[in-house]
Amino acid sequence: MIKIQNLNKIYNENKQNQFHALKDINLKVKKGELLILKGVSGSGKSTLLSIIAVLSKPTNGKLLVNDEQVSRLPDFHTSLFRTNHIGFIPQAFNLFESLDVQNNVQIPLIPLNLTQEQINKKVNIAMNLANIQHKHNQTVNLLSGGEKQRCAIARALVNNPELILCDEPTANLDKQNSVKFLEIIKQLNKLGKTIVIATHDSIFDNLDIAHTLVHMDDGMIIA
Amino acid sequence: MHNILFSNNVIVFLFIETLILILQIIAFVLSLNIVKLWDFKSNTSTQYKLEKRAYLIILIIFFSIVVKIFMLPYFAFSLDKLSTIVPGAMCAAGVITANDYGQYLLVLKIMILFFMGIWLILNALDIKAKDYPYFKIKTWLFILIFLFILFEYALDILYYTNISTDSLVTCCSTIYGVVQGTGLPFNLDIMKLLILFYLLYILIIVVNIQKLAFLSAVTNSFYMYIAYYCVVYFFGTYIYELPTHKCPFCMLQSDYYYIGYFIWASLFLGVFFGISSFVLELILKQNQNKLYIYSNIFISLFVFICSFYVLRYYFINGVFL
Amino acid sequence: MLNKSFFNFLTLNLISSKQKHIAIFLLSIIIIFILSSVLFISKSLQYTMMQTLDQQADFTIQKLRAGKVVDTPQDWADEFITIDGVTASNARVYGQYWYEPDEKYFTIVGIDMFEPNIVKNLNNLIKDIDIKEFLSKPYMIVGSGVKEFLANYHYFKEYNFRTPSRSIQKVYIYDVLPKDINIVSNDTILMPIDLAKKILGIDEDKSTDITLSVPNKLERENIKIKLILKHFDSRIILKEDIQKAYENMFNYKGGLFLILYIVVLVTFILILYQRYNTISSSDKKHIGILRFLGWSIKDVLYLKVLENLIIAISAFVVGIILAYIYVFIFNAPFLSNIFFGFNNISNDVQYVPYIPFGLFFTLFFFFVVPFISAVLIPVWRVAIIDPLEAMR
Repeated sequence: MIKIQNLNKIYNENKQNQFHALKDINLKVKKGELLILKGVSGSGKSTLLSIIAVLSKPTNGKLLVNDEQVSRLPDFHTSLFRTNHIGFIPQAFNLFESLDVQNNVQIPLIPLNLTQEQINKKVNIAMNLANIQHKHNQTVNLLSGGEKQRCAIARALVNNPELILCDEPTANLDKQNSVKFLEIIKQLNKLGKTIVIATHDSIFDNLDIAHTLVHMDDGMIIA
Repeated sequence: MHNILFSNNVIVFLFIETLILILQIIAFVLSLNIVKLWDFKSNTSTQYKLEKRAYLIILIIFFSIVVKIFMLPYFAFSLDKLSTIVPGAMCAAGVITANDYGQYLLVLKIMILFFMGIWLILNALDIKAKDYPYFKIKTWLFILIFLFILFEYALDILYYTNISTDSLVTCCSTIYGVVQGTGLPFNLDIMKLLILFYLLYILIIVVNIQKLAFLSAVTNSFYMYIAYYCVVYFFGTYIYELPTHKCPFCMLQSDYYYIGYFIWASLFLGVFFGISSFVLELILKQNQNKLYIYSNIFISLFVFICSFYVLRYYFINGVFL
Repeated sequence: MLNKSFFNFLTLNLISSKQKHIAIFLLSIIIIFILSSVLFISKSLQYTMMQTLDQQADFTIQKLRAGKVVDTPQDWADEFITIDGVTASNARVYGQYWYEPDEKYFTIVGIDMFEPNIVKNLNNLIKDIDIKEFLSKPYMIVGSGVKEFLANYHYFKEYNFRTPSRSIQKVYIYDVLPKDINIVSNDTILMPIDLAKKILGIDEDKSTDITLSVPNKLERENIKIKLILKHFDSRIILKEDIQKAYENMFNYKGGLFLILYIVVLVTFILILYQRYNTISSSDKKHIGILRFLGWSIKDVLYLKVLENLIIAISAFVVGIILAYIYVFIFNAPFLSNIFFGFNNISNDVQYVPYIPFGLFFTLFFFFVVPFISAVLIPVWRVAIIDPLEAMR
C-alpha cells in the first residue's frame, strides 16, 4: 500500500543550519499491516511519519500510496487525501480544548459536503469504536489523559481511513491507559486497517499480533 | 465638477475602487514574481512557497471579483442619483453621456467582469487538477485583467471629474430617439426585430443543448446586440407603460422595482456563459458542459422577464402599446 | 462545505476567542455609529428641507441695484401676472430683526391675511386665525424658539420692536407656531404685512421680493426670459435652482464629512491589519490542527474570511440600530449642534425617519469592504501555516 523510494528530507537546505533528517529511506508497507517504527528521539521517525501523512514534502525521493505519487500533489489534493485515507493521532493529542468531544470528533468531516445526518452517523460510530461515546458532551479540557487519547482516536477514525498513523501515542499515558490503547490498536488491525506507530515505548516490543518492527537511527532505517 | 465629487455615492465608489486597485497591485506584483519562477515539477522549497503565495493571489482576485460584481450596479445607482444635479438629466442615461468617457467606461466594466468570470472558471478547474495545468494561462489572463483594471481606474477618475454641472446633457428621450425604426440594427422595424429576437433565442437553446461551442459564442454575442435594442425600444416601453419612453437606465430606478438590474444581469450572465464555453474550450481543449446549461437558464430567465411585462400589459389593458 | 456543522464550529470558535475580537468589534460599532448618525441626520434634514422647499414658489424675483438686492416695487407683481403661464403672483415682505443684547436674529415674515399665499404651508398656518381679532391690534405669531427666548427676557405677552425710524412698535403675541415644522419656523415671527414693513423699514409701495406660480415646468425657461426683458435690473430665482443649490450644499457637507471619514477608515484598516497580523501561538496551534486533520488552505481561508465577515456584519447591524435609535428616537443630542450651529436659537428638533434606500448599501460597502480588505493578508498568513510548525 505504501511505497517509499529513496526518500530524503533535509531541513533548511543550503543554509548554515542544514539538517539531514531522513537519509535515503526505502520502505514498503502492505495493506492491513501493523508497522512499528522504533527509535530514540531525533532518529527521524516522527519526520518519516509526517511525510507518510503528507504533512511535509520530501526533499527528493518518492512516496507512493496505492501507487499514486501523493508527495507531489497540490495542497487541495493532499488535504483531500488526508481526509479520506489517513487518520493521524499526534503525540500531544492536539484537541480543541474549549470544545466538547463531539465537536472535536466531527472537525475532519466539515470540509466534505456531507449532510448533517451523515456527519452525526459517522461521529457516533467513531466515538463508539474509541469508547468515548459516553463523554460526547464533555468539554475536552475536563477529560483525563486516557480519555483525551480516545477522543483523538475517535477523531482519527471518523472518516473511516485505511491508514492510521500514531506519533508516540503512549508518551503521555500511564501504564493502564497504554494497555487500553494497545487493545484498541489490535481491534483496528483486525478490522483491516493499516497502522504505523512511531514510538520508543517498550510496550510495543513483544506484541502478540503479527507486526513488522523497523528500527531507525540517525535518519536511516537500520533493521 | 466638485459637486459631483462630493456626492456620497461617488466618494464611496471611488474609495472602494482605490482599495481594490491597491489589492490588485499587490496581486500583480506577486503574480509577476510567481510566473517567472513557477515550475510545478520541481521539489524545491521555493516552489512550495510559490504555491502558497499563489493562494494569496487567488484570495485577492476572488475578493475583487465579488466587490466588482456589486460595484457595477452601484455604479449605475450612483449615476442615477447624480441625475438630480446634472442639468437636463432625468436618469443615468443623461449622466453617462455627460462626457465621452462614460459609455466606454461602462463597456469596459462589463468586459472586465466577463474576463474575471473566465478567470474564475479557469481557476476552479486549475485547482481541481493535480498538477496546476492552467497556472500560466491563468496568470497571464490575470495580468491582462489587471491592465484593464488600471485603465478602468483612470477612466473612472476622468469620467467623474469631467461631468459638468453647468452644461445641459441630453436625456434618454433624445438619445434613444422618439422615432421608431431609425437607429435599429439593419434598419429593421421593431416587429421584425422582435421576430429575430425570439428566433435567436430558440436557436441559442438548441445550440446550447447540442453543445456547439463556436456557434454558441457567435449566436450569444449577436443576441446581446439584438436584445439590447429590443429591451430599449420595445420591452422597456412596456415596463414604463409609455410607448415613447425608451431608455435602458430608467428601469434601474425604484419606480420600476429595480427590475432593470435583473434584466441586464440575466442577459449578461446568459451571454457570458454562452461565450465563455467557447473561450474555455479554446484554452482547455475540452468541453465544459455545465456552462451551456447555465447559459440556457439565464437567457430563458431574461426572455421570460421581458415577455412577462408585455403579456402583463396586454392582460391588464386588453391592447398592446 | 457551508453546512450546519461548519457554522456551528465557526460560532464556537468565535465565542471561545472573543477576547481577540471584542476590541475590534466595539471599535467597529463606534465607527459605524458615528458615520451612520451623521448620514441619517443629514438625509433627514435634506428630506425635510426639500419638503419645505417644494412648498416654495416656482419663481422669486428681486430687484438689484449696483449688484445688491434692494426692496422690490410692489406693482411688479401686477405686471408679472399678465405673462402667459403665470397663475399667481405675490409681493412678499420678510427680513431679519437683530436683537443686539444676545446677538441673535429673528426672521420676520409678513403675511397677507386676505390673499392666498403661494407658499402653501403659510396658508395652513393662518387659516385658523380669527382675522378680525388678529388685525384689531398689533399682533404676531411666533415660533416656539422665539417664545422661549422672549420669555427669558420676561417678555411674555408682547415685545417692543425698535424700528429703523427710531420709534418703538409694541406687538402682542397672538399664538405660537406648532412645533413640528420647527426647523424652518423656529426663529420665525409672522405678522401682518403692513406691520412687518414698519418694523423692517420697508416703504409702503415696496416689498422684499415677488413670487410667482408657474405650474407648467416646460414654460419656466421661457418665462424667465420674459421676466428679464421686463426689468433688466432684476434677479430671477427658480425653485429648481434653490433645490439644486441646497442639494449641492448637503452633498458638499456630506461629502466633506465622508472624505474626512476616509482618514478614520484608513487608520482603522491599519489597526485591523496590525491586530490580525499578530498570530498568537494558540491560533497557530488551532490552524495546525485543522490542517493536519485534512482541511485544505482553501477551507481555512473560508473559515477565517467568514469569521471576519461575521464580525464586520454584526458590528454593522448593531452600529446602524444604535444610530437609528440615537437619531430618530433621542433626536441626536450633541451631534445636532454641529449641524445647526450654536448661533441660531436652539432647536427642539424632531428628525423625520427618512432613510433613502441606497444609504444602507453605501454604508455597508463603505465599511465592510475596507474591513475585509484589511484582513485578507493576515488571513492568508494564518491559512498557510505549516501544520507541523503548529504542532511542535
